[in-house]
Amino acid sequence: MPTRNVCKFSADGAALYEVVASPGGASAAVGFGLALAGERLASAPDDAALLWVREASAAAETGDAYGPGLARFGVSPDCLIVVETRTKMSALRAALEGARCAALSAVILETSTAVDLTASRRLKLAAEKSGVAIVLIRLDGQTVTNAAQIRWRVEAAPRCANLDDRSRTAFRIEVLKHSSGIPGKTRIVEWDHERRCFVEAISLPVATVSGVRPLAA
Amino acid sequence: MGLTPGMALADARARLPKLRAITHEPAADAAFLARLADLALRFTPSVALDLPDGLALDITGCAHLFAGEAGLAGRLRGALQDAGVSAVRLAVAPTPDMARALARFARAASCFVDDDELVRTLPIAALECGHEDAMALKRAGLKTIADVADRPSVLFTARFTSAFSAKLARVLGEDDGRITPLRTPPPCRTERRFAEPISSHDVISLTVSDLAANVGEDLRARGEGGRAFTATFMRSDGAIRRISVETSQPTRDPAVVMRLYRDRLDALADPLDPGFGFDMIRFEAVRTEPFAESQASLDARGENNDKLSHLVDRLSVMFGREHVKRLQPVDSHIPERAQITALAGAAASNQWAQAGETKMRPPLIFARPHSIDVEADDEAPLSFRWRRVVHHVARATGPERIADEWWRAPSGYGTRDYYRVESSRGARFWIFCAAVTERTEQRKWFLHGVFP
Repeated sequence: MPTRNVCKFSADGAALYEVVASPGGASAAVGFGLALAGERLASAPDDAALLWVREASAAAETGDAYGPGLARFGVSPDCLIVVETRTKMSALRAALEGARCAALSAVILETSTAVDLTASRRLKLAAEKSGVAIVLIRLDGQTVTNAAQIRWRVEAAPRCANLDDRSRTAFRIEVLKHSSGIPGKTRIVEWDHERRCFVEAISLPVATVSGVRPLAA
Repeated sequence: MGLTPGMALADARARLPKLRAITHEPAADAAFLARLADLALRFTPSVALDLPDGLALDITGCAHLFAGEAGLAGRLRGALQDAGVSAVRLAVAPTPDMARALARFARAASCFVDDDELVRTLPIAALECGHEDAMALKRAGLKTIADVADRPSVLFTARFTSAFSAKLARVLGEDDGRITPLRTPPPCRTERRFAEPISSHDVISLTVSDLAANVGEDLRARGEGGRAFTATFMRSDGAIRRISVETSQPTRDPAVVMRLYRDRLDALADPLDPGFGFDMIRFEAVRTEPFAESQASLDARGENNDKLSHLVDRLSVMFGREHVKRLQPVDSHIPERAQITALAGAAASNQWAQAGETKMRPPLIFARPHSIDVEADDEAPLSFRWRRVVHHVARATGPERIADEWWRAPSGYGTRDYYRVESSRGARFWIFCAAVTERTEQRKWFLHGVFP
C-alpha cells in the first residue's frame, strides 16, 4: 500500500467548522463531523471531552448514538456527552454553554436547518475565547451565509476496498468556503479510525479498484 | 341547618329547598388538600395528609415560635380560612390518632388536650370501626369511648379483632404512632420572612443568594455538600412556587448554586410570578452527601473535571436530566442491548476502553429497527427500499449471525443475519434479516443502523 498524505483538517486554528450534507448524505455528514471532532480529540489531553448536541428532528433522521460503533469509529464514547433538545433554539443554547467550557475539546451541533449569522457568530466568539472547536452539521443541505470559517459539503464515497473490518470510511468532500480561499475543490479522504487522522485516498476510479479486489464472500 | 354528611339528597332538599347539588370530584379535592398541606408547611416542616379530609401536623418544638399552641392554632385557622376553608376544626393532642378523633368528633371547633379525659367522652364512632362493629357495640349498650375503655380489652379483641384494640389504644394515647410527613424534613434549611411582601427580582435573587450562603455555612459545619437544593417561594396570597436544582457533585458554593438557579429560572416556561409579593422565602438542601475537601492539584486534571461537571449541571438544569446522557457498555451481544444511556451526572470512566475492541458496528443506530422491503437472492440482498428510496446494493458483506439470548426475554426478532451493504451511490447501511418467530410469519428484513 503506498504511503498516503495525512490531511490535518483541524490544525489551521479555525474555531467554527460547518459540514453540510449533500442529498441523501446525512449519515456521511454526521460521520465526517464526528471524525473531525475525533481528530481534535486525538491531539487533546486524556480527559478532554466531547459534547454532541442533537436537535430531536436531526436525531430522528440519522438514528441514536451507538457506543460500540463510536468506539469502533475512533471516537471513544467514554468522553462523549450527548444532549438531545426538542428545538433548534435550545440546541443553540446548549452548544453555546459547551463553547464556553474550556474542558471540552469540541462541540458537535447537529441541526436539521440552517444556523444563521448571528447565532453562528456568537458561537464562534465563545469558541475562540475558550479554545473549543465547534462543528456544525447541517442535514438539510441548504447553505446560508454564516460565520463558519471552513465549510464542506460531504457525501459518502464508495469504498475503495471491500467492506471488511479494517477498511476505512471514505468521504467525498467539496470545499464550499475556506479562509485561505480555494473553494470548489473536491477530493476524497478516508478516516483512519485507528490513528485517528484523515488520509488522502488513492484517486483511482472506483470501478477499477473493485475489479482488482472482488467482493469478499 | 340540620344537614349532615351522608344524608340523602331528597332529605336535604326537603330541609333546604334552595340546595345546589354539585358532582363530587375526588381529584380536585385531593389537589385542594395538597395545596392546604403546602400552606401548613409555614408552621412545621412535618405535615402529613390525614385522608380523606384532614391534615396532620407534627408541631413538636414549633409552637413556641407562634407564642404557644393557641397562637399557632389561631394563625393556622386564619391561613386556612384565607385559602377558602369555611369550617375549620382543630385539635391539639399528644398523639395523632387522638387529635384526629377530637378534630372530627368533638363538639368544640378547637380543643387543646394533654390527657385522654375529653377523648373518653366521644361517641363510639370516633373509633372509626366498621358499620357492623359499631352496631354491635351500640346494641351492647356501649355508647362512648369511656364505656369501651373501662372494660378489659381482651373481650373486644376476642369479639372484634386486635386491630380494634390497637386503634382504641392509639386514640386513648396509650400507644403513640408518628405521622409520615409528605416531605421529609430536609437536613439543612434556612428561611426569611419579610415584614412587607417583596416583588423586585433583584431583591428576590439577592435573598436567595444570602440564604444559599447560609445553607452553605451549615453544610460546611456538618462536613457535607448538597446534591439537591429547593427554593420555596410563598406568595402573600397563599400560592407556593418551588424551584429545585440538582448538582452532579456535592457542593456548598453559593455561586455555583445561584448560577444553576438562574439557569433554571430562565428555562421555566412561566417565570416566577411574584403577584403581590412573597412574604417568605425558604431555601433548603434537600439531599446532602459527605463532602471531600479537595486540594488543588498541580495539573489541570481536577480543574477540568470540575468544569465538566458544572457544564453537565447547567445543561441538566436547562434541558432536564434525562436529556443529558453518557453511553455505557453492557455485556450483551444483541446490538441494541449492548449499551445503555446513563445520566451524564455519573462520573466518567473508561468503561468502553475496558470493554475492548468490538466487531464492526455502526456509530448510529435506530432504537427500533426500520422495516424495509428487500429483494435478495440466496446469498445477499440485491436492492432494498428504505424511506421511499430504492437503494441498489453494490456490495455486501455478511452474514454475521446473531442469535437471541435464551437466558433473557426474547428480543422479538429471533436469530438475525446481519449484512453490511453499500449502495451504488456509496451510502452504507447495516441491515438484518430476522428469522421466523412467533411474531412474524415469514422472514423479514430490517434496517438497524447507518455507517457514515
